[in-house]
Amino acid sequence: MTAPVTTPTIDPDIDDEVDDEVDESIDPDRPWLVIVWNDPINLMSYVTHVLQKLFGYDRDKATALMLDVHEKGRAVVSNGPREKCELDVFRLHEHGLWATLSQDN
Amino acid sequence: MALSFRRNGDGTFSITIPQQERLLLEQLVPQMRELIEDNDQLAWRLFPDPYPNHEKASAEYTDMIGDELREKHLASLAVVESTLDAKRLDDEQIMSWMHAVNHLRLVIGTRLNVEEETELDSYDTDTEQSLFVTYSYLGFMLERIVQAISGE
Repeated sequence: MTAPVTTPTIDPDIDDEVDDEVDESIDPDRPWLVIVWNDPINLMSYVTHVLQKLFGYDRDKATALMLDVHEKGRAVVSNGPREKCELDVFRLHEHGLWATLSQDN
Repeated sequence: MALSFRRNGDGTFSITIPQQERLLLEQLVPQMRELIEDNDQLAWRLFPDPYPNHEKASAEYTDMIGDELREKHLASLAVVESTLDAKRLDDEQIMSWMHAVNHLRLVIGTRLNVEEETELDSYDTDTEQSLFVTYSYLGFMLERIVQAISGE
């Protein structure tokens, strides 16, 4: 996966850079999104395979999502209630993908 | 003999790992295990924060999962350690190989600050170059594993 313009600068100190306004209160009624971020290490074939395996996407859909991650820096791979999304994120982390959760606007 | 992973008709996988490369894994896997067991910062890439902008949610998530992710990572490494000499793997074991090899790549690649355009001569020292060769080899191995599992 190429390092695109929007690769997040994720380092252990990221919380220092976040101001109070970003730490929004969590609205229990808004659905959640699971986002996979691009990284320069994971192989494209591997990411595609993991997306098929974890979410049941067919090869074309998984490849399209993987290319979104690769070219745009991130892609939404799943959505739903918070607990389901947390489980999805856990499974993605188990497979070494970089995944985060955010609430749908 | 060349590196190969092949799905058999009965759902198992035949594997061939050249001796030198098996020795390499024999060294790397225990080192990786120690990093995770010791909660070493070098393994941080294996534990991303799902809520990078929500300190409280992040802390709650960390509490909720406890050691679970750590245990999963260690379990994959344990399977590889115990099947290093195997000629045949079942479908769970090959999944563990896939995870473990990928985790090794992630940690080594992070340590090398690998980027998309990184090449061998991006590095000045023998140590880093040697590590990059290892990193590249693991990528080659992972591709083979993914091909065998996904059949594509």
